[in-house]
Amino acid sequence: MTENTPTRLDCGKTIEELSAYLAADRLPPNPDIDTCPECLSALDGLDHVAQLSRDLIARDIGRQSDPPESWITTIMSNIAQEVRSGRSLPLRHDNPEVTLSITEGAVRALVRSVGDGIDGVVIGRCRIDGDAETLDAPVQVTITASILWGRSPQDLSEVLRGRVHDALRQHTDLRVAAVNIVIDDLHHIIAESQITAESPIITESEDPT
Amino acid sequence: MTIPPDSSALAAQLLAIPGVAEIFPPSPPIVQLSTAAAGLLTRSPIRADLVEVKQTSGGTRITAKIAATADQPARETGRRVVDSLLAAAEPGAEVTVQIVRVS
Amino acid sequence: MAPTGEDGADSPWEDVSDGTLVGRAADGDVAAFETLVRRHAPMMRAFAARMLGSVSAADDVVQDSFLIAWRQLPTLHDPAAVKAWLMKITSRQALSCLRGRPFDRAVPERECAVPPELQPESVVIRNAQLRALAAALEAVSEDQRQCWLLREVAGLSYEQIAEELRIRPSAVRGKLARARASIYARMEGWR
Repeated sequence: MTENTPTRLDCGKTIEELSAYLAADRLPPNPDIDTCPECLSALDGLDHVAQLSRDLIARDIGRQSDPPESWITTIMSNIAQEVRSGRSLPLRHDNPEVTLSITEGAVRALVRSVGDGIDGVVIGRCRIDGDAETLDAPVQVTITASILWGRSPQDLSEVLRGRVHDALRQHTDLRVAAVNIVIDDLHHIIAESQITAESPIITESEDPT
Repeated sequence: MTIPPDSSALAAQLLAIPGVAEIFPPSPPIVQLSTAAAGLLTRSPIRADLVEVKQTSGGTRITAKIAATADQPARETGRRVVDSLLAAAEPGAEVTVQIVRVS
Repeated sequence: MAPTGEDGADSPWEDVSDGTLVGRAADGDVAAFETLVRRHAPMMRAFAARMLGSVSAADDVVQDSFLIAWRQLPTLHDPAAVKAWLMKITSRQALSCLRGRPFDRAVPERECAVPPELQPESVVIRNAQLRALAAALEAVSEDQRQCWLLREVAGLSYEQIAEELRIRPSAVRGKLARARASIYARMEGWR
């Protein structure tokens, strides 16, 4: 292979022209190119080069050595310094000189561990809506969850809602008006790639009381 | 005037309370991206106080951040911690307790 | 005393989607973030190594990228699209790394562990093809290679590449066309 490979096809088109045509997503359509067998074959080849680039990275991934565990540890210890505490949710105390609170981050983590404790449930997000920084103000808790393929979303939602209510009543002074559960994902058995992004979302809302 | 309570003595006192799992310094160090990425992050040689005790014009101000165990109601644990700090401090002390984890 | 990892040390989440893990991580769950790191680091490292021509520089860039990702996760609108988002962050970090240091590419062509004579012919041809591509990629100009990798590997749009490289989208198109033509020409024997 020489450095000065000719780039003009016998039909007169240059490789650069064809590549520009590809870069423009073959728009506007050029009948001269679209009907010329030589151009079409070159376009296929050019397209193939793009696919090959992704293959090259895929091969790199297969060949690269795993990062040392310390590399991951560095990332994890750095992010652990940046805790997401969120708001301070007040806890009741008689003494006016006292400020007692639990962080929103702690409540979310509590909800996650309660939810994960239910077989077939993995919690996603947990949102606390309302004026949670004021004692006795009603709040709504909305939780997204992924459930094990084949399980009943209704049953798991009921169990999850009950446990979250109990945990929040036990550990916090939040006035929880409702716990809304959104099952927006499935896991296990079917591969992730087979779940469409728009898989049916089941929302189980609770009437605020 | 009473002697202001000692931070490490207060920390030991809090750790003995049922339901208290851990105590964290109220003011953690801030990580800079560049040092973090270079893996050069080292802990400050001077350890931050686990329980912060400050003398202000208004009196003593005590601040503590704790992790609570999930086997006891965290809000009750928090109240026990507050009461314990109030008992150790002079009357009128300002006490702030935050629960940052329940597990 | 309870361990720091609230959800346990091993990853029980191999089958759990990116979207669910991103939600947890955005809420502050460090363990979920670690699963995302382990899941996506290989692609980011390989891509950054091709961009930078250095494995160790790539590792630094990817480490930085994850720290930025942690900070920005709560702003990610489509949690399921986290892979593309991570690649965008990696692209940006790799480019700023390239801007900040002199050009010193060490070609990251790794030799295959299995000797060619022990491989099926199709694999030999395939590997030769990929080696030819790797060489062709090294031979094009720096800006063309960047455009190429950002578009074809990181999957950035023309507009996104233009923004990252601070040039016009039409210029991106031109660089890509020239990169593709030049790589194609250099791979004549293998296409």
